[in-house]
Amino acid sequence: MKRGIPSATICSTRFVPVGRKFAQALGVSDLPIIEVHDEVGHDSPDELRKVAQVVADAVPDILRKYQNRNVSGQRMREEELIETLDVDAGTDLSMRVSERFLQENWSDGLPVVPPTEDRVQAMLDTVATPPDEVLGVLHPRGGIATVRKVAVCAVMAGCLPKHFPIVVAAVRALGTPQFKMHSVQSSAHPHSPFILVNGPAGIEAGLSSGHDCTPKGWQANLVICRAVRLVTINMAGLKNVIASHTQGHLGRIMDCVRENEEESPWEPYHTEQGYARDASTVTAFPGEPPHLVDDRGSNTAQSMLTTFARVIANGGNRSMFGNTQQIVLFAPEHAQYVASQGFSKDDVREFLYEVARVPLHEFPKNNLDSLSVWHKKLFANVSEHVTVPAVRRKEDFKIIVHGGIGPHSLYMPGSLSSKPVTVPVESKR
Amino acid sequence: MSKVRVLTPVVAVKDNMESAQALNVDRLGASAVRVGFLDNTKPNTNQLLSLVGGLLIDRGLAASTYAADKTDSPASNPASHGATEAVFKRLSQNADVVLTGLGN
Repeated sequence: MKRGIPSATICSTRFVPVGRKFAQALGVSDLPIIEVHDEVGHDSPDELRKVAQVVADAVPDILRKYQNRNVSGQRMREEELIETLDVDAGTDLSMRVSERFLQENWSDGLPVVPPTEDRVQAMLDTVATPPDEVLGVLHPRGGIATVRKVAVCAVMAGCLPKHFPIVVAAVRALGTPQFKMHSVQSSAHPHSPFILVNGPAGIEAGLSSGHDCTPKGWQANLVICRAVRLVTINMAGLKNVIASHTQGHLGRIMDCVRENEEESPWEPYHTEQGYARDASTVTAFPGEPPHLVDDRGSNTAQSMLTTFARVIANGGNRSMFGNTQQIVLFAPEHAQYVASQGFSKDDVREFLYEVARVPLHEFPKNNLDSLSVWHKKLFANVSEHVTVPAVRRKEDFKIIVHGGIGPHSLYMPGSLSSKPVTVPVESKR
Repeated sequence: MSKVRVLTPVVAVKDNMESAQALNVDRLGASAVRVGFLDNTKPNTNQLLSLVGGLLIDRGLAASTYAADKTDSPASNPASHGATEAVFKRLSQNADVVLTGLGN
């Protein structure tokens, strides 16, 4: 439509409200939508012919609407840009601000710290980046994420000033084209930014990398992640449709950790991305909620890594259907054992590339249609015993050491389109 | 009661229509139009759009149909990605109206 061609889109009933929201966000609020029933993706040829009749029946009316200029393609009216609110002072200020922000869909439902000018300024004072610098345009909403507005979200989340340089870096990562925030927000596939911090900035911010690092007691892990979440709600999300994930993402509010560099036998993640060991970085990964990799009995590295491969590779894993980056969070105990057997990180990647595979016959037959174009090209007309790798290249396994004592690692399937992005943490010092 | 000023997280939104072209509806007055289809690769979409094309031609609404898809997308799951410039260009050249699918 924005290319000047009259257009209409076909949506199943469940997707119509989301389709309208996205059309609005893209500036074409009056895009005609033809509604079809929800099971259309599974319809038999006979059923599909009936759906085609519904669509064809709708076309004359759409053409008439365009001819009569009842569909304009005009830009939607912009929302009022409210910069400040004056709120009654008093002991329950925080509660009143929280309630008002929730009414306006600016919050996540938890109480917020009122973002007063002095609190926001304290955040801004920690970074050299000017307050009006744009860290990114966050899609699908297209919100312009300035440092100042990100500072407002950081205050709301309960961040301390020392946390802010990490929040800034995280938002910068989300705003890069490679991260494809639009896809992370608009796909039904439940995945969300997982924030990894490397280097001294994470220690200075008080981020935990170790045992039980996500519940109480680790303020930095929680509030930094919440700040990023509030940024996505206010700048990337659409009103009342924050994301279209089928279930949302159960770990979303706690997905910020520091790599356990102290106990890792391998080089830290950020040095693999070309940064100096003493540099501080934030990496945003598009990840599903984590899966447990439990291994407490292996007595060879190969056996232990096979456990990892079994968790990763199965025919029901959505991330097997496209070209993804698979995120593997080794518990220190697992990493140290594998390394003690002479396995470098690259050896681990090589092993997982060879072993984390699924024979074609283990994909449910009717799901094969969902394989990526690349998979279809490579695996068309081959024996059903041919195996499909979990990643296209071994480098697509992202190896991180994380957590405390115990034989429990985590695996986080990646996105089919968004890629991890690493950026430096900048601060005034 | 005195007031406290708080800042809001409300942001300006990038104007998504800044490079939008004016809608060209002139050709829609013709007795039959060229209908383009953009298949986002969701299951059954290709088949559905083909059937719709056949019906529109049978009913005399479409003079011709032109099918495009997102298989040239760099993403392995192109459904949630915009089409490439090459696809838009081909649709602009070959269609007076475009049906896209499938939101599902």
